[in-house]
Amino acid sequence: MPIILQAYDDKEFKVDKQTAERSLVLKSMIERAGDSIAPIPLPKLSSLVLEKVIMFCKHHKADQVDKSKDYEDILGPRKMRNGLIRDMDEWDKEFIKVDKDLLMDIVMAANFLDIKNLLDIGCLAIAYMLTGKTPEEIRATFGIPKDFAPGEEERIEQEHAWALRP
Amino acid sequence: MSSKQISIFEIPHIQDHICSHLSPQHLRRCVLVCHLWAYHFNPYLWQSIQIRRRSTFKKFARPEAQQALAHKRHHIHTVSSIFAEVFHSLRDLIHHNPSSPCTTNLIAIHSLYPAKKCNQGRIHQQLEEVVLQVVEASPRLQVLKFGIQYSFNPNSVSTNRCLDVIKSHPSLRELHIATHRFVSVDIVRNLLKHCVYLEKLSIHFTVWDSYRGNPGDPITQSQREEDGFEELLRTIRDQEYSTEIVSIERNVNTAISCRHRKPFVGFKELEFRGRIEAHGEVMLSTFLSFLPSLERVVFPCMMRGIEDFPRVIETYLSCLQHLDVSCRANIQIGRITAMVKACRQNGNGNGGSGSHGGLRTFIGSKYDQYDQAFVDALLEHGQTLEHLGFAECDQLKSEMIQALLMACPRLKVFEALLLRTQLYWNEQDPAFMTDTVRPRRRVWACQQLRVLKLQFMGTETHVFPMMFAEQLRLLHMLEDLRLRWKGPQPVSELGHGKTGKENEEEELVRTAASQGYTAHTMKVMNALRALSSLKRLKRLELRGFRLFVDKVEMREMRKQWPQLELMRHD
Repeated sequence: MPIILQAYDDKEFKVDKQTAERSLVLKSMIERAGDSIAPIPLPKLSSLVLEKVIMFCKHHKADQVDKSKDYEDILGPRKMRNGLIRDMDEWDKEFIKVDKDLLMDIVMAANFLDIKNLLDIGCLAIAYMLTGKTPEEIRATFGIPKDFAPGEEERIEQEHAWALRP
Repeated sequence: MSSKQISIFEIPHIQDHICSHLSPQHLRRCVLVCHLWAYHFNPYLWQSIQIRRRSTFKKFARPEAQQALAHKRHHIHTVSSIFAEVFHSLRDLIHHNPSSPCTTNLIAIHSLYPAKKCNQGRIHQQLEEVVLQVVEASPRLQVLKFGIQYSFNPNSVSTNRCLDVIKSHPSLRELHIATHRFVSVDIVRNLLKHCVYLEKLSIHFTVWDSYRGNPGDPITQSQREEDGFEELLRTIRDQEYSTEIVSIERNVNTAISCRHRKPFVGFKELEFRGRIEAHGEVMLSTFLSFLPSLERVVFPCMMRGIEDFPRVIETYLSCLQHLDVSCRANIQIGRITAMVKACRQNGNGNGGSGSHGGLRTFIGSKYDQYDQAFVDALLEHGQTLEHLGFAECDQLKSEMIQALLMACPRLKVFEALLLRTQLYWNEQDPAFMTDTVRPRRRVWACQQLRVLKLQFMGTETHVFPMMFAEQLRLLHMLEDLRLRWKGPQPVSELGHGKTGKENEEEELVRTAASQGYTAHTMKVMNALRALSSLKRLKRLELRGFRLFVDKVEMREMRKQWPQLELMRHD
């Protein structure tokens, strides 16, 4: 029995149960609803975002929910470095190559719907956007105006100069 | 800035997640973006302060940074530094207002080896005290790594102060102490007995000293307990050095069996790195018998044998899963075999606190004379073993390595940087075949392997065993591969100067070597090309393959591993 998801702009998406259950929120809703086939309204999600989210869930519907991370236990946490995005598999990498606004929306949606894998990948992609950029480039990417008073930036730089190298 | 971006950094767990991927360097850049971002990212930037270089320390000591520290001190979770002054400024912040010292939110302090970097004697002497004051003011502290200057014995005032602070701390879980001098057995016993919250104790020392403590000392006297330890200590002290160890063991056993036992329940990990002399082993085995929930133990270097340890493990340590005897422990292999066997019985009997019984880690030392009986004992843990390390021992035979790799499905790390083992595969050996009629090679069971460090020997015509390459290419999870090859030294390696003639010679040796392979070996470049199936490879190190590897081609080949971060070959 397909589940119907309704986006903010009233567009409806039919998905199978296994796909929908990637989201823990939807899973509990489906369990509570039982056999009723009323569409589930998701007023916070635009159809564009919902489409992306469904695409992700469809691709990952057969995954095991909890991938073990025991390797880190033995070797310690991975070193932080620039090439973070390489930790994802190819499909995810392609999937998350979207513009900044959509990426933010996807992360918000993943958070709202409680889809852990998608949240992980989204956060990784955002972190990747922030790495290797100067403050000026970050401002340009995110469209943020510089609001420091003259001399303030230098002061903050001095305050945190120790963070450059351990 | 649109409202969307504000909201994404306002959800704490999303920002936690994002910032966990960012290094301090990146966080610093985020702080420099705008006021709002500074507000959002500052807590993460200040969460962990790591200062290793002197230049970094100088930047940290600037007045601007110190002012910022005063404002942001409640964000700090981890401080890791070898400079005493860092802890001085923290202490000064805490005691800024003498009437009401404030607290910090520190979770971890790492201050190992202060002596190496600080040259100002005055600051040195007080450093331990300063760190202890910070510890006292940090009620959430869980990890303390601490280098101390003095001998750790109960007669010194500083040791007792240190013990008092640690004992009364409400949340400390992990304690690492490094001293370049003695550690007294009384102290170890005190730590084990009184630190009820401690789960992990690690002490690095030079000598474990069973004799230094003075029984008449008022402080030790006040700590006398009914469990017979003090008496036991005295008994051992009263024995002459020349006394046979047997009689002491008898005493220990009597003490253990007669007294009312009070186990120290909390400890999960115990690590002693240093040298144990005289009758220290007896004390150690006594301590071990009081630690029923121990999961990991690192044995120190011992001068005598350890007759008692297998029995102790079997009788008392029902949760032991990680065994580390790498500390040059002078242990007969028969004993180690017995210890390994003892672990198995325990694991099956009680189930342990882990999900499955049996040994998960074994790390050996380079002096051990491994034999088949030992490997058989280890193989009994085949289903649970995850980490095997044989440092640089040279006794492990090729078939032992293969037997282990073939039988341990959960294995994730295998390290064997051996010196004199020739890696070979005997085509006819039934052990490596699944079917004798139509021989098919048995595939290694360790398909989960992430790290493989292996050194092997060969002649110039026997370089890369083909079956080895074939097995390697099936390990799809492999992330770290380090191979060392040892062969006869070619002529050109005798002189290190790179004259044209020597280069020519090298070239000659290389061509000769690459031409004349015997059967069942591969050209190294071909073998490496076959390894292109290892898509997760992050680190590849090849040592000693210089003559068989073409640099230009290697650079080309690098592309076949999409995740490769480091490649070294020499």
